[in-house]
Amino acid sequence: MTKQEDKGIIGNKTGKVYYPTIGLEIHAEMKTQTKMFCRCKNDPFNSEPNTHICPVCTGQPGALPFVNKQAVKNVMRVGVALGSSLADFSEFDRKNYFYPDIPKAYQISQYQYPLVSGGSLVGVELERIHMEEDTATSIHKTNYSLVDFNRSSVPLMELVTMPVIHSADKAIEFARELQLLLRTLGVSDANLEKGEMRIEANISVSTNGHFDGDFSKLGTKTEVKNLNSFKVVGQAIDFEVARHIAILEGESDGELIQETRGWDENKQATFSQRSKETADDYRYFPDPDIPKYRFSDLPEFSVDVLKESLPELPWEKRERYKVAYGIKNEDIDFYLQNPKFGEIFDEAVNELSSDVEYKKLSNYISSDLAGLQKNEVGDLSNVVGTELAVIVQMINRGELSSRGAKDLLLEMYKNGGKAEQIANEKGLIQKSDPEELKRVIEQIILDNPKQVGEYKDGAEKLLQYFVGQGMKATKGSANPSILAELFREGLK
Amino acid sequence: MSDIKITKGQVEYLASLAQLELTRQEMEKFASQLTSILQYVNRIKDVELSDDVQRNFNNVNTFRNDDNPHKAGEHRDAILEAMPETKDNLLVVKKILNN
Ligand SMILES: [Zn+2]
Repeated sequence: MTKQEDKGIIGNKTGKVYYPTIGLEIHAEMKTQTKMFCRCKNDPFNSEPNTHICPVCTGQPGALPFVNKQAVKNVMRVGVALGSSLADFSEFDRKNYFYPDIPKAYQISQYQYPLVSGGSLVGVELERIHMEEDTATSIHKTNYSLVDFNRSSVPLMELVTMPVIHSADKAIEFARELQLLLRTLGVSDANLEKGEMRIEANISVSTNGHFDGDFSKLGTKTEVKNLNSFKVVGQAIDFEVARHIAILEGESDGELIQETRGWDENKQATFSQRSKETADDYRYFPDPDIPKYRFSDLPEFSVDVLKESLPELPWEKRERYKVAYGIKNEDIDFYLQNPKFGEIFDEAVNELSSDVEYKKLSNYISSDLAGLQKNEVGDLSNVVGTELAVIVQMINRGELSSRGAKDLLLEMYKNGGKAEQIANEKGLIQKSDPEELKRVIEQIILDNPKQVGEYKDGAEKLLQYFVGQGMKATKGSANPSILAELFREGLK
Repeated sequence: MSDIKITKGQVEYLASLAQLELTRQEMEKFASQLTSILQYVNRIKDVELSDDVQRNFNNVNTFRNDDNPHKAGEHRDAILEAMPETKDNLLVVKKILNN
C-alpha cells in the first residue's frame, strides 16, 4: 500500500485508490456535583462499591428522574464554544436494551432532539451533541459478574462528528483538542484511562472519493469501540483501514461486514465483537417521566448568556500567545496542557515589556520551572508570577547570572518568597562591581601562593583554577569572563 | 380505531430483544393480550380535544439544581437488601459475555 495523505491509498494488486472515511463518537462524563437524574453524588472513582446509589439510579419501580440543570448547561456551553446551534425544543428519550449494567432496561438518552447540532472543531464538522446517562460498571469473574451502580446515571455527553476525517492523525488531533476544550470549560476531566472520555471510531474505505454528503458513496462501515488512549485510536484506525483494503483487494480472506469491533492490545489488532444477543433495535421513544424543554423561555440558556460563561478557549489562547508574545509553539502547547504554568506565565508577562523578556520568561517557566516540578520537592504555588517577572528583569539588568537565576528559582519553588530578598540573602546578586571583585581576587591571590608561583612560571592553565576559586568565593554570582580578565590583570 | 393487531411474530421478536424464552402457547396468549391492551389504549385517539388542551404542558422546563447530594450510602443498605444476590456489596448477575 502506498499512502498519499488525503489523496487516498493505492491498492497493491489492483492499483485502485481507496479513500478512508472516519467518523468519531466520543462520550465524556460531565463533572457535576450530583448525577444526571438523581441527587446521588457524581463520584464513581473514589468510593466503595454501591455507595452513591438511590432508587432512581438503580431503576426501582416508581422512581422518577429529575434533570440536573448544570449538566444540561455544560453540554450547551460545549456547543456554544464549538459554534454549534443550540436546540430550542429538546426532550429525552428511552433507549431500550437489556444488559445488567442498565438497571431500568433502558438508558435515558436523546434521539430526535439533541441539545446541540452542527459546529466544528479543528476543521471537523460535527453532527450533534446530546445528553444521556452513563451505565453501571461490571466486574467479570469466572462464573458470574458483579455490578457496581456508583457510575449509573452519571451525566454523559455524546458527541458525533460527520464522517469527514480521512486519517488517524486527524482523528487524534480532533480527540486531543476536544479533551483540552472539555478541561478548559471545566465540564469534564476527560481522562481516557479512567473512561471519563471514551472514543469510538466508525471506519470505512471507498473508491468513490471523499465523503461529499452522499452516504451511499461510502464503503462498509465498522465501528471500533473501547479505545482507551489516543495512541490506540490511531493504531485501531490504521489497522482497520489496512484490513478493509486488504479484503477489498482480495489479499485477505476476512469478511467485511458492518459490525462492532474491539481492540486487542496484545495482538495489536481489532477483533469482531458480534454477538447474537444484541440486536440493534433500541425502540427509542420520548421518556414520559421527563418534561419537555423550550429553551427560548429560559434566558440563562441563551447563546449570549452561555457565551459570557466561557473562559478563554484553547484556540483563542494559542492565538494570543502567538500574536502578543511570539513564544514558541511547544511552549504554547505546554501552557495549554498545563494550565497552572499558563497562569504563572500570564501573571508574569504583564510585568514585562519586550519580546526578549517574554521569551526568556517562557523559557524559565517551560524548561526550568517544569523541570523543578518534575525533580524537586516543592510547590508550584510558591512561585508567584510577578516575582518570576522580577527574576527576568534582574537577569536583564545583569544582576543575576543564569546560574544564580536557577538557584533563586529552586529556593522560591521550595520555600516561596520575594525574588530580590532571596537573591540578597543567598548572595546571588552578580558581583559586577569591579572594586568588590578586586578585593575578592586579592584575597585569593594571597591565599594561594603556590599556584600563583606556578602560574607566573608559565602554568597558564591555572587561570581556570583561580576563576573557579573566584566563583566559589562569590557563590557563583560573578561573571566568569570578568573574573578571568581581573585575574590576568592581578597576576601580572 | 380498533385495527391494531400484535402478531405472534412481533411477540417472538420482542421476546428475543428482551432475552426472554417464551413457549408457543405463551406467544399466542401474549399476542392476543397485547392486542387488546393496545386497542384499549388506542381509544384515547377517539377523544375530541381542543388545540388548547393538547398544547397545555404545565411542566415544561423543570430542572433540579446541581446541589445537595445524598449522603454517601444513604440508600445503600435498603437497595442492597432488595437485590437477589450480592457479594462484597456488589450485585451478582449471570456471567456477562462479550463485554
Ligand atoms: Zn441515585
